[in-house]
Amino acid sequence: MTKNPIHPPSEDLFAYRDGELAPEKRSFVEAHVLGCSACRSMMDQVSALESEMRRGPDAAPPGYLEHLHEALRARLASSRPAAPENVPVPPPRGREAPTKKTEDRVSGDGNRRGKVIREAGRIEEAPRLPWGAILSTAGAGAAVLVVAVILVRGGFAPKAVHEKATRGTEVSQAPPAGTGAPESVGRRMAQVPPPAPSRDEAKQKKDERFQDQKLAKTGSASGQTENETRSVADEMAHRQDEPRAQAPQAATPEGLTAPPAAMKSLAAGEETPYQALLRKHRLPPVWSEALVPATALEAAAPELRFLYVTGKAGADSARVRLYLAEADRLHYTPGDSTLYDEIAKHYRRAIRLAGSDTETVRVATERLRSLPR
Amino acid sequence: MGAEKPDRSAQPDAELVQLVLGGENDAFDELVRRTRRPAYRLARRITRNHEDADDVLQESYIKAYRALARFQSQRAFGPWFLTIVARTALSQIRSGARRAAVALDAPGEGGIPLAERIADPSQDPSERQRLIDVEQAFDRLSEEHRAILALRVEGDLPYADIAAALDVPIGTVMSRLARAREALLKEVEELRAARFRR
Repeated sequence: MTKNPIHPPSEDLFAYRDGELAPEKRSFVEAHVLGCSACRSMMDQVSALESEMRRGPDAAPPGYLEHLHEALRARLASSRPAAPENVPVPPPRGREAPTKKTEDRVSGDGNRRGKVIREAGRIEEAPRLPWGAILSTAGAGAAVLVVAVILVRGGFAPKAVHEKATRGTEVSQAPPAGTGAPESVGRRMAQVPPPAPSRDEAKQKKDERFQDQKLAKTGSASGQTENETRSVADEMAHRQDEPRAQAPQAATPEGLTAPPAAMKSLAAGEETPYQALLRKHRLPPVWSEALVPATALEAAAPELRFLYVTGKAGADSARVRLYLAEADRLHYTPGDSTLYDEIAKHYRRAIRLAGSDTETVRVATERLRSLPR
Repeated sequence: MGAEKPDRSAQPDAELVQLVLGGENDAFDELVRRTRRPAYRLARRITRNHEDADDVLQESYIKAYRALARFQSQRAFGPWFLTIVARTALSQIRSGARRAAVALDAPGEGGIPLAERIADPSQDPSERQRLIDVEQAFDRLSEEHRAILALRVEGDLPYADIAAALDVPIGTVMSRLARAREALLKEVEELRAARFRR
Protein backbone atom coordinates (compact mmCIF):
# COMPACT_ATOMS: atom_id res chain seq x y z
CA MET A 1 0.00 0.00 0.00
CA THR A 2 2.49 2.60 1.10
CA LYS A 3 6.23 2.46 1.23
CA ASN A 4 6.51 5.30 3.69
CA PRO A 5 4.60 4.69 6.94
CA ILE A 6 5.28 8.20 8.31
CA HIS A 7 2.70 10.42 6.70
CA PRO A 8 3.01 14.19 6.74
CA PRO A 9 0.27 16.01 8.69
CA SER A 10 -2.89 16.38 6.62
CA GLU A 11 -2.62 20.18 6.73
CA ASP A 12 0.72 19.89 4.95
CA LEU A 13 -0.74 17.53 2.37
CA PHE A 14 -3.64 19.85 1.62
CA ALA A 15 -1.43 22.94 1.65
CA TYR A 16 0.83 21.18 -0.84
CA ARG A 17 -2.14 20.42 -3.07
CA ASP A 18 -3.35 24.03 -2.75
CA GLY A 19 0.10 25.38 -3.64
CA GLU A 20 0.37 26.99 -0.22
CA LEU A 21 3.03 24.87 1.44
CA ALA A 22 6.21 26.55 2.62
CA PRO A 23 9.12 25.89 0.23
CA GLU A 24 11.22 24.14 2.87
CA LYS A 25 8.53 21.49 3.37
CA ARG A 26 7.52 21.15 -0.24
CA SER A 27 10.15 18.71 -1.44
CA PHE A 28 9.61 16.39 1.52
CA VAL A 29 5.83 16.28 1.05
CA GLU A 30 6.17 15.93 -2.70
CA ALA A 31 8.51 12.97 -2.34
CA HIS A 32 6.14 11.36 0.15
CA VAL A 33 3.04 11.85 -1.99
CA LEU A 34 4.73 10.33 -5.01
CA GLY A 35 5.41 7.16 -3.07
CA CYS A 36 2.31 6.97 -0.87
CA SER A 37 -0.91 5.80 -2.48
CA ALA A 38 -2.90 6.32 0.74
CA CYS A 39 -2.09 10.02 0.88
CA ARG A 40 -2.69 10.41 -2.85
CA SER A 41 -6.04 8.69 -2.54
CA MET A 42 -7.12 10.88 0.36
CA MET A 43 -6.17 14.03 -1.55
CA ASP A 44 -7.96 12.80 -4.68
CA GLN A 45 -11.11 12.03 -2.72
CA VAL A 46 -11.19 15.51 -1.20
CA SER A 47 -10.53 17.07 -4.61
CA ALA A 48 -13.47 15.14 -6.03
CA LEU A 49 -15.76 16.28 -3.20
CA GLU A 50 -14.78 19.90 -3.67
CA SER A 51 -15.36 19.61 -7.38
CA GLU A 52 -18.84 18.25 -6.64
CA MET A 53 -19.46 21.14 -4.26
CA ARG A 54 -18.60 23.57 -7.05
CA ARG A 55 -20.98 21.81 -9.42
CA GLY A 56 -23.82 22.09 -6.92
CA PRO A 57 -26.71 24.46 -7.66
CA ASP A 58 -26.71 28.15 -6.85
CA ALA A 59 -30.04 27.59 -5.08
CA ALA A 60 -30.97 31.19 -5.79
CA PRO A 61 -34.52 31.97 -6.90
CA PRO A 62 -34.77 32.31 -10.66
CA GLY A 63 -33.68 35.75 -11.86
CA TYR A 64 -32.31 36.80 -8.49
CA LEU A 65 -28.67 37.09 -9.49
CA GLU A 66 -29.50 38.64 -12.85
CA HIS A 67 -31.39 41.48 -11.20
CA LEU A 68 -29.18 41.92 -8.18
CA HIS A 69 -27.42 45.01 -9.51
CA GLU A 70 -30.76 46.70 -10.09
CA ALA A 71 -31.82 46.04 -6.52
CA LEU A 72 -28.52 47.40 -5.33
CA ARG A 73 -28.72 50.56 -7.36
CA ALA A 74 -31.38 52.12 -5.17
CA ARG A 75 -29.41 51.40 -2.04
CA LEU A 76 -26.17 52.63 -3.52
CA ALA A 77 -27.82 55.90 -4.42
CA SER A 78 -27.63 56.85 -0.78
CA SER A 79 -23.97 55.87 -0.46
CA ARG A 80 -20.83 57.31 -1.86
CA PRO A 81 -17.54 55.47 -2.10
CA ALA A 82 -14.72 56.59 0.16
CA ALA A 83 -16.63 59.30 1.95
CA PRO A 84 -19.26 57.71 4.12
CA GLU A 85 -19.49 60.82 6.26
CA ASN A 86 -19.59 63.15 3.24
CA VAL A 87 -16.49 64.87 4.53
CA PRO A 88 -14.16 66.04 1.74
CA VAL A 89 -11.50 63.37 1.41
CA PRO A 90 -8.74 63.55 -1.18
CA PRO A 91 -9.39 60.70 -3.62
CA PRO A 92 -6.51 58.32 -4.34
CA ARG A 93 -4.05 58.76 -7.17
CA GLY A 94 -4.88 62.37 -7.93
CA ARG A 95 -8.39 61.68 -9.12
CA GLU A 96 -10.83 64.50 -8.61
CA ALA A 97 -13.17 64.21 -5.68
CA PRO A 98 -16.74 63.42 -6.68
CA THR A 99 -18.51 66.68 -7.40
CA LYS A 100 -22.03 67.68 -6.56
CA LYS A 101 -22.89 66.85 -10.15
CA THR A 102 -21.44 63.38 -9.67
CA GLU A 103 -23.45 62.94 -6.53
CA ASP A 104 -26.59 63.86 -8.44
CA ARG A 105 -25.75 61.31 -11.06
CA VAL A 106 -25.11 58.66 -8.42
CA SER A 107 -28.42 59.22 -6.73
CA GLY A 108 -30.25 60.10 -9.88
CA ASP A 109 -33.76 59.58 -8.63
CA GLY A 110 -34.18 62.51 -6.32
CA ASN A 111 -34.01 60.39 -3.19
CA ARG A 112 -30.57 61.64 -2.37
CA ARG A 113 -30.79 62.14 1.34
CA GLY A 114 -34.24 61.69 2.70
CA LYS A 115 -35.13 58.10 2.05
CA VAL A 116 -33.65 54.97 0.66
CA ILE A 117 -35.93 52.89 -1.49
CA ARG A 118 -35.05 49.28 -1.19
CA GLU A 119 -35.68 46.74 -3.88
CA ALA A 120 -38.66 45.16 -2.21
CA GLY A 121 -40.42 48.46 -1.91
CA ARG A 122 -39.40 48.85 1.72
CA ILE A 123 -38.61 52.36 2.73
CA GLU A 124 -36.32 53.22 5.53
CA GLU A 125 -35.12 56.46 6.91
CA ALA A 126 -31.55 57.34 6.14
CA PRO A 127 -29.74 59.52 8.63
CA ARG A 128 -29.86 63.19 7.73
CA LEU A 129 -26.50 64.84 7.76
CA PRO A 130 -25.96 67.45 10.45
CA TRP A 131 -24.28 69.97 8.18
CA GLY A 132 -24.04 72.62 10.89
CA ALA A 133 -22.25 70.20 13.18
CA ILE A 134 -19.97 69.00 10.37
CA LEU A 135 -18.91 72.52 9.44
CA SER A 136 -18.28 73.55 13.02
CA THR A 137 -16.41 70.27 13.59
CA ALA A 138 -14.27 70.91 10.53
CA GLY A 139 -13.46 74.39 11.85
CA ALA A 140 -12.50 73.00 15.23
CA GLY A 141 -10.47 70.31 13.49
CA ALA A 142 -8.50 72.88 11.52
CA ALA A 143 -7.70 74.74 14.73
CA VAL A 144 -6.58 71.52 16.40
CA LEU A 145 -4.43 70.71 13.39
CA VAL A 146 -2.62 74.03 13.64
CA VAL A 147 -1.91 73.42 17.33
CA ALA A 148 -0.74 69.88 16.60
CA VAL A 149 1.63 71.04 13.85
CA ILE A 150 3.09 73.68 16.16
CA LEU A 151 3.62 71.07 18.89
CA VAL A 152 5.16 68.55 16.50
CA ARG A 153 7.51 71.18 15.12
CA GLY A 154 8.47 72.03 18.66
CA GLY A 155 9.43 68.40 19.21
CA PHE A 156 6.99 67.78 22.04
CA ALA A 157 5.07 64.68 21.22
CA PRO A 158 7.44 62.38 19.29
CA LYS A 159 10.07 62.87 21.94
CA ALA A 160 7.71 61.88 24.71
CA VAL A 161 6.49 58.78 22.92
CA HIS A 162 9.90 57.72 21.74
CA GLU A 163 11.37 58.04 25.17
CA LYS A 164 8.66 55.78 26.47
CA ALA A 165 9.45 53.11 23.94
CA THR A 166 13.18 53.14 24.29
CA ARG A 167 13.80 53.90 27.90
CA GLY A 168 10.60 52.41 29.23
CA THR A 169 10.16 55.09 31.82
CA GLU A 170 6.81 56.49 32.78
CA VAL A 171 6.29 59.66 30.82
CA SER A 172 3.26 61.79 31.26
CA GLN A 173 1.12 61.10 28.23
CA ALA A 174 -1.44 63.80 28.80
CA PRO A 175 -2.33 65.23 25.41
CA PRO A 176 -1.27 68.78 24.82
CA ALA A 177 -3.87 71.42 25.32
CA GLY A 178 -6.01 71.64 22.25
CA THR A 179 -5.75 68.00 21.28
CA GLY A 180 -8.46 66.93 23.62
CA ALA A 181 -11.10 67.30 20.93
CA PRO A 182 -13.60 64.49 20.46
CA GLU A 183 -12.15 61.60 18.49
CA SER A 184 -14.45 62.20 15.55
CA VAL A 185 -13.05 65.69 15.30
CA GLY A 186 -9.53 64.33 15.30
CA ARG A 187 -10.41 61.79 12.67
CA ARG A 188 -12.04 64.29 10.38
CA MET A 189 -9.28 66.75 11.04
CA ALA A 190 -6.75 64.15 10.00
CA GLN A 191 -8.56 63.58 6.73
CA VAL A 192 -8.22 67.21 5.73
CA PRO A 193 -4.85 67.57 4.03
CA PRO A 194 -2.68 69.96 6.00
CA PRO A 195 -0.53 72.58 4.27
CA ALA A 196 2.08 70.47 2.51
CA PRO A 197 5.37 72.27 3.25
CA SER A 198 4.94 72.56 7.01
CA ARG A 199 3.74 68.97 7.31
CA ASP A 200 6.64 67.57 5.32
CA GLU A 201 9.05 69.61 7.33
CA ALA A 202 7.54 68.43 10.59
CA LYS A 203 7.65 64.81 9.39
CA GLN A 204 11.26 65.13 8.35
CA LYS A 205 12.27 66.66 11.65
CA LYS A 206 10.33 64.03 13.55
CA ASP A 207 12.03 61.25 11.60
CA GLU A 208 15.46 62.75 12.17
CA ARG A 209 14.81 63.01 15.89
CA PHE A 210 13.69 59.37 15.99
CA GLN A 211 16.86 58.25 14.26
CA ASP A 212 19.13 60.43 16.40
CA GLN A 213 17.57 59.28 19.64
CA LYS A 214 17.77 55.67 18.53
CA LEU A 215 21.46 56.05 17.79
CA ALA A 216 21.98 57.59 21.17
CA LYS A 217 20.13 54.79 22.93
CA THR A 218 21.48 51.80 21.08
CA GLY A 219 24.96 53.08 20.42
CA SER A 220 24.78 52.12 16.79
CA ALA A 221 22.55 52.50 13.83
CA SER A 222 20.13 49.67 13.32
CA GLY A 223 21.76 49.04 9.98
CA GLN A 224 18.46 48.25 8.35
CA THR A 225 17.55 50.17 5.27
CA GLU A 226 14.18 50.91 3.84
CA ASN A 227 14.76 48.18 1.28
CA GLU A 228 15.07 45.58 3.98
CA THR A 229 11.50 46.18 5.02
CA ARG A 230 9.68 43.88 2.72
CA SER A 231 6.44 45.19 1.30
CA VAL A 232 3.22 43.31 1.88
CA ALA A 233 3.31 42.15 -1.71
CA ASP A 234 6.78 40.73 -1.23
CA GLU A 235 5.70 39.09 1.98
CA MET A 236 2.76 37.49 0.23
CA ALA A 237 5.08 36.26 -2.50
CA HIS A 238 7.38 34.77 0.11
CA ARG A 239 4.55 33.48 2.24
CA GLN A 240 5.89 30.93 4.63
CA ASP A 241 4.48 28.65 7.18
CA GLU A 242 5.71 30.46 10.23
CA PRO A 243 4.31 29.67 13.62
CA ARG A 244 2.69 32.52 15.43
CA ALA A 245 5.53 34.00 17.43
CA GLN A 246 4.13 35.02 20.77
CA ALA A 247 7.32 35.77 22.67
CA PRO A 248 6.89 35.07 26.34
CA GLN A 249 6.73 38.21 28.39
CA ALA A 250 9.70 38.44 30.69
CA ALA A 251 9.30 39.92 34.15
CA THR A 252 9.55 43.67 33.89
CA PRO A 253 10.13 46.28 36.54
CA GLU A 254 7.06 48.19 37.51
CA GLY A 255 6.39 51.20 35.39
CA LEU A 256 7.94 49.84 32.21
CA THR A 257 5.77 50.56 29.25
CA ALA A 258 7.67 49.12 26.28
CA PRO A 259 7.17 45.38 25.72
CA PRO A 260 10.23 43.37 26.77
CA ALA A 261 10.79 41.97 23.28
CA ALA A 262 10.85 45.43 21.80
CA MET A 263 13.34 46.60 24.44
CA LYS A 264 15.50 43.56 23.90
CA SER A 265 15.64 44.04 20.16
CA LEU A 266 16.39 47.71 20.58
CA ALA A 267 19.23 46.87 22.94
CA ALA A 268 20.57 44.40 20.40
CA GLY A 269 20.24 46.97 17.65
CA GLU A 270 17.64 44.87 15.82
CA GLU A 271 14.22 45.86 14.68
CA THR A 272 11.10 43.80 15.06
CA PRO A 273 8.86 43.77 11.96
CA TYR A 274 6.53 46.09 13.84
CA GLN A 275 9.30 48.60 14.52
CA ALA A 276 10.42 48.47 10.89
CA LEU A 277 6.85 49.20 9.88
CA LEU A 278 6.62 52.11 12.31
CA ARG A 279 9.84 53.53 10.96
CA LYS A 280 8.71 53.14 7.37
CA HIS A 281 5.43 54.95 8.00
CA ARG A 282 6.81 57.31 10.65
CA LEU A 283 4.38 56.20 13.30
CA PRO A 284 4.81 56.32 17.08
CA PRO A 285 5.13 53.02 19.00
CA VAL A 286 1.66 53.34 20.47
CA TRP A 287 -1.19 54.80 18.45
CA SER A 288 -2.02 58.33 19.49
CA GLU A 289 -4.76 60.54 18.14
CA ALA A 290 -2.51 63.57 18.21
CA LEU A 291 0.40 61.93 16.38
CA VAL A 292 -1.11 59.60 13.80
CA PRO A 293 -2.81 61.23 10.85
CA ALA A 294 -5.55 59.21 9.17
CA THR A 295 -3.64 59.14 5.90
CA ALA A 296 -0.60 57.53 7.53
CA LEU A 297 -2.81 55.05 9.32
CA GLU A 298 -4.57 54.12 6.07
CA ALA A 299 -1.22 53.64 4.38
CA ALA A 300 0.12 51.41 7.14
CA ALA A 301 -3.09 49.41 7.74
CA PRO A 302 -2.52 46.63 5.14
CA GLU A 303 0.97 45.93 6.48
CA LEU A 304 -0.25 46.03 10.07
CA ARG A 305 -2.98 43.56 9.15
CA PHE A 306 -0.44 41.35 7.43
CA LEU A 307 1.76 41.35 10.55
CA TYR A 308 -1.19 40.32 12.63
CA VAL A 309 -2.54 37.69 10.27
CA THR A 310 0.83 36.03 9.71
CA GLY A 311 1.71 36.11 13.39
CA LYS A 312 4.75 38.30 12.77
CA ALA A 313 3.56 40.89 15.26
CA GLY A 314 4.98 38.69 18.01
CA ALA A 315 5.33 40.56 21.27
CA ASP A 316 4.02 43.71 19.60
CA SER A 317 0.61 42.08 18.98
CA ALA A 318 -1.20 44.33 21.44
CA ARG A 319 0.06 47.49 19.78
CA VAL A 320 -0.69 46.10 16.33
CA ARG A 321 -4.24 45.32 17.48
CA LEU A 322 -4.64 48.87 18.76
CA TYR A 323 -3.52 50.26 15.42
CA LEU A 324 -5.88 47.90 13.58
CA ALA A 325 -8.78 49.04 15.75
CA GLU A 326 -8.01 52.64 14.87
CA ALA A 327 -7.62 51.84 11.18
CA ASP A 328 -11.08 50.23 11.17
CA ARG A 329 -12.46 53.08 13.22
CA LEU A 330 -11.60 55.54 10.45
CA HIS A 331 -14.42 53.99 8.44
CA TYR A 332 -16.84 53.47 11.26
CA THR A 333 -20.20 55.14 11.54
CA PRO A 334 -22.40 54.49 14.58
CA GLY A 335 -24.99 51.86 13.80
CA ASP A 336 -22.65 49.65 11.80
CA SER A 337 -22.79 46.74 14.19
CA THR A 338 -20.46 44.55 12.15
CA LEU A 339 -17.66 47.04 12.20
CA TYR A 340 -18.35 47.91 15.81
CA ASP A 341 -17.80 44.29 16.79
CA GLU A 342 -14.56 44.10 14.86
CA ILE A 343 -13.17 47.29 16.35
CA ALA A 344 -14.21 46.36 19.88
CA LYS A 345 -12.64 42.94 19.42
CA HIS A 346 -9.33 44.50 18.45
CA TYR A 347 -9.39 46.80 21.48
CA ARG A 348 -10.22 43.93 23.83
CA ARG A 349 -7.46 41.77 22.41
CA ALA A 350 -5.05 44.68 22.67
CA ILE A 351 -5.91 45.06 26.35
CA ARG A 352 -5.58 41.34 26.98
CA LEU A 353 -2.30 40.97 25.12
CA ALA A 354 -0.67 44.12 26.44
CA GLY A 355 0.55 42.59 29.71
CA SER A 356 2.81 45.15 31.38
CA ASP A 357 2.48 47.59 28.48
CA THR A 358 0.39 50.01 30.51
CA GLU A 359 0.29 52.67 27.82
CA THR A 360 -1.37 50.33 25.33
CA VAL A 361 -3.81 49.14 27.99
CA ARG A 362 -4.69 52.73 28.88
CA VAL A 363 -5.20 53.92 25.31
CA ALA A 364 -7.13 50.83 24.22
CA THR A 365 -9.39 51.01 27.28
CA GLU A 366 -10.16 54.69 26.77
CA ARG A 367 -10.78 54.23 23.07
CA LEU A 368 -13.06 51.24 23.63
CA ARG A 369 -15.07 53.27 26.13
CA SER A 370 -15.44 56.16 23.70
CA LEU A 371 -16.50 53.98 20.76
CA PRO A 372 -20.13 54.87 20.06
CA ARG A 373 -22.47 52.05 19.11
CA MET B 1 -30.09 56.33 -16.91
CA GLY B 2 -28.61 56.71 -20.34
CA ALA B 3 -29.94 54.57 -23.15
CA GLU B 4 -26.57 53.15 -24.14
CA LYS B 5 -24.10 51.85 -21.64
CA PRO B 6 -20.48 51.25 -22.54
CA ASP B 7 -19.39 47.62 -22.65
CA ARG B 8 -17.09 47.28 -19.66
CA SER B 9 -16.76 43.52 -19.72
CA ALA B 10 -13.11 43.63 -20.82
CA GLN B 11 -11.97 46.34 -18.44
CA PRO B 12 -9.68 45.33 -15.57
CA ASP B 13 -11.08 45.52 -12.04
CA ALA B 14 -8.75 48.35 -11.06
CA GLU B 15 -9.99 50.53 -13.89
CA LEU B 16 -13.59 49.87 -12.96
CA VAL B 17 -12.87 50.84 -9.38
CA GLN B 18 -11.31 54.09 -10.52
CA LEU B 19 -14.35 54.79 -12.69
CA VAL B 20 -16.68 54.24 -9.74
CA LEU B 21 -14.56 56.54 -7.59
CA GLY B 22 -14.89 59.10 -10.36
CA GLY B 23 -18.68 58.83 -10.22
CA GLU B 24 -19.36 56.28 -12.99
CA ASN B 25 -21.75 54.02 -11.15
CA ASP B 26 -22.36 51.82 -14.17
CA ALA B 27 -18.85 50.50 -13.61
CA PHE B 28 -19.98 49.17 -10.25
CA ASP B 29 -22.70 47.16 -12.01
CA GLU B 30 -19.94 45.39 -13.89
CA LEU B 31 -18.10 44.62 -10.65
CA VAL B 32 -21.36 43.21 -9.29
CA ARG B 33 -21.83 41.06 -12.41
CA ARG B 34 -18.35 39.64 -12.04
CA THR B 35 -18.69 38.68 -8.41
CA ARG B 36 -22.37 38.01 -7.75
CA ARG B 37 -22.36 34.26 -8.36
CA PRO B 38 -19.38 33.22 -6.19
CA ALA B 39 -20.43 35.81 -3.62
CA TYR B 40 -23.98 34.44 -3.43
CA ARG B 41 -22.77 30.87 -3.22
CA LEU B 42 -20.37 31.81 -0.45
CA ALA B 43 -23.02 33.72 1.49
CA ARG B 44 -25.56 30.96 1.00
CA ARG B 45 -23.15 28.27 2.13
CA ILE B 46 -22.44 30.18 5.33
CA THR B 47 -25.96 31.40 6.13
CA ARG B 48 -27.79 28.34 4.73
CA ASN B 49 -30.86 30.20 3.53
CA HIS B 50 -31.65 32.57 0.70
CA GLU B 51 -33.05 35.45 2.72
CA ASP B 52 -29.96 35.82 4.88
CA ALA B 53 -27.69 35.30 1.90
CA ASP B 54 -29.53 38.12 0.11
CA ASP B 55 -29.14 40.42 3.12
CA VAL B 56 -25.46 39.55 3.39
CA LEU B 57 -24.87 40.12 -0.30
CA GLN B 58 -26.54 43.51 -0.42
CA GLU B 59 -24.85 44.62 2.78
CA SER B 60 -21.49 43.47 1.45
CA TYR B 61 -21.86 45.36 -1.82
CA ILE B 62 -22.77 48.51 0.08
CA LYS B 63 -19.73 48.09 2.33
CA ALA B 64 -17.46 47.45 -0.64
CA TYR B 65 -18.84 50.47 -2.45
CA ARG B 66 -18.19 52.70 0.54
CA ALA B 67 -14.70 51.28 1.01
CA LEU B 68 -13.63 51.36 -2.64
CA ALA B 69 -10.99 53.99 -1.96
CA ARG B 70 -9.25 51.44 0.27
CA PHE B 71 -9.15 48.85 -2.49
CA GLN B 72 -5.59 48.22 -3.58
CA SER B 73 -5.45 48.36 -7.35
CA GLN B 74 -2.80 45.65 -7.66
CA ARG B 75 -5.28 43.12 -6.27
CA ALA B 76 -8.28 41.56 -7.97
CA PHE B 77 -11.61 42.90 -6.80
CA GLY B 78 -13.13 39.42 -6.40
CA PRO B 79 -11.05 38.05 -3.52
CA TRP B 80 -11.18 41.38 -1.74
CA PHE B 81 -14.95 41.45 -2.03
CA LEU B 82 -15.37 37.82 -1.01
CA THR B 83 -13.54 38.49 2.24
CA ILE B 84 -16.11 41.21 2.93
CA VAL B 85 -18.94 38.77 2.15
CA ALA B 86 -17.47 36.16 4.47
CA ARG B 87 -17.01 38.60 7.34
CA THR B 88 -20.51 39.96 6.91
CA ALA B 89 -22.04 36.49 6.74
CA LEU B 90 -20.18 35.27 9.82
CA SER B 91 -21.10 38.39 11.69
CA GLN B 92 -24.75 37.86 10.78
CA ILE B 93 -24.61 34.28 12.00
CA ARG B 94 -22.95 35.25 15.25
CA SER B 95 -25.37 38.06 15.90
CA GLY B 96 -28.11 35.43 16.02
CA ALA B 97 -30.29 37.50 13.72
CA ARG B 98 -30.50 34.91 11.02
CA ARG B 99 -33.40 32.91 9.79
CA ALA B 100 -33.64 29.15 10.11
CA ALA B 101 -31.50 27.11 7.78
CA VAL B 102 -33.41 25.40 5.02
CA ALA B 103 -33.07 21.65 5.27
CA LEU B 104 -32.17 19.90 2.09
CA ASP B 105 -35.38 17.91 2.04
CA ALA B 106 -37.61 20.86 2.94
CA PRO B 107 -39.66 22.50 0.20
CA GLY B 108 -37.64 25.28 -1.32
CA GLU B 109 -38.57 28.06 -3.69
CA GLY B 110 -41.54 27.06 -5.81
CA GLY B 111 -42.42 24.24 -3.42
CA ILE B 112 -39.73 21.98 -4.87
CA PRO B 113 -37.54 20.18 -2.33
CA LEU B 114 -33.99 21.43 -2.56
CA ALA B 115 -32.70 17.91 -2.93
CA GLU B 116 -34.70 17.60 -6.13
CA ARG B 117 -33.30 20.82 -7.46
CA ILE B 118 -29.78 19.82 -6.61
CA ALA B 119 -28.93 18.78 -10.10
CA ASP B 120 -30.20 18.54 -13.60
CA PRO B 121 -32.69 15.63 -13.79
CA SER B 122 -31.15 14.67 -17.11
CA GLN B 123 -27.92 13.90 -15.30
CA ASP B 124 -26.68 10.43 -14.64
CA PRO B 125 -28.52 9.33 -11.43
CA SER B 126 -25.33 8.25 -9.70
CA GLU B 127 -23.70 11.61 -10.45
CA ARG B 128 -26.80 13.33 -9.11
CA GLN B 129 -26.69 11.23 -5.96
CA ARG B 130 -23.03 12.18 -5.42
CA LEU B 131 -23.95 15.87 -5.57
CA ILE B 132 -26.78 15.33 -3.10
CA ASP B 133 -24.43 13.44 -0.78
CA VAL B 134 -21.86 16.18 -0.72
CA GLU B 135 -24.49 18.86 -0.11
CA GLN B 136 -25.97 16.86 2.76
CA ALA B 137 -22.54 16.16 4.20
CA PHE B 138 -21.62 19.84 3.98
CA ASP B 139 -24.83 20.71 5.78
CA ARG B 140 -23.83 18.48 8.69
CA LEU B 141 -20.52 20.25 9.27
CA SER B 142 -19.95 22.74 12.05
CA GLU B 143 -20.34 26.43 11.29
CA GLU B 144 -16.57 26.87 11.54
CA HIS B 145 -15.89 24.11 9.04
CA ARG B 146 -18.60 25.23 6.63
CA ALA B 147 -17.25 28.75 6.58
CA ILE B 148 -13.65 27.83 5.88
CA LEU B 149 -14.59 25.26 3.23
CA ALA B 150 -16.90 27.72 1.53
CA LEU B 151 -14.13 30.33 1.44
CA ARG B 152 -11.72 27.89 -0.11
CA VAL B 153 -14.07 26.06 -2.46
CA GLU B 154 -16.55 28.72 -3.55
CA GLY B 155 -14.26 31.70 -3.12
CA ASP B 156 -11.11 29.93 -4.30
CA LEU B 157 -9.30 32.24 -1.92
CA PRO B 158 -5.63 31.88 -0.99
CA TYR B 159 -4.86 31.09 2.62
CA ALA B 160 -3.83 34.67 3.39
CA ASP B 161 -7.21 36.00 2.27
CA ILE B 162 -9.03 33.32 4.23
CA ALA B 163 -6.98 34.31 7.27
CA ALA B 164 -7.99 37.93 6.79
CA ALA B 165 -11.65 37.01 6.30
CA LEU B 166 -11.79 34.85 9.42
CA ASP B 167 -9.46 37.05 11.45
CA VAL B 168 -7.17 34.15 12.30
CA PRO B 169 -3.49 33.41 11.59
CA ILE B 170 -2.51 31.40 8.51
CA GLY B 171 -1.44 28.44 10.67
CA THR B 172 -5.00 28.23 11.98
CA VAL B 173 -6.35 28.35 8.42
CA MET B 174 -4.14 25.40 7.47
CA SER B 175 -5.19 23.23 10.37
CA ARG B 176 -8.86 24.21 10.37
CA LEU B 177 -9.18 23.66 6.63
CA ALA B 178 -7.58 20.23 6.95
CA ARG B 179 -10.00 19.27 9.74
CA ALA B 180 -12.94 20.57 7.70
CA ARG B 181 -11.92 18.53 4.67
CA GLU B 182 -11.47 15.41 6.76
CA ALA B 183 -14.88 15.98 8.36
CA LEU B 184 -16.52 16.39 4.96
CA LEU B 185 -14.92 13.21 3.73
CA LYS B 186 -16.07 11.33 6.81
CA GLU B 187 -19.65 12.60 6.53
CA VAL B 188 -19.87 11.62 2.87
CA GLU B 189 -18.49 8.17 3.60
CA GLU B 190 -21.03 7.71 6.39
CA LEU B 191 -23.91 8.79 4.18
CA ARG B 192 -22.86 6.43 1.43
CA ALA B 193 -22.28 3.59 3.83
CA ALA B 194 -25.72 4.11 5.38
CA ARG B 195 -27.37 4.05 1.98
CA PHE B 196 -25.49 0.91 1.05
CA ARG B 197 -26.71 -0.83 4.20
CA ARG B 198 -30.36 -0.06 3.42
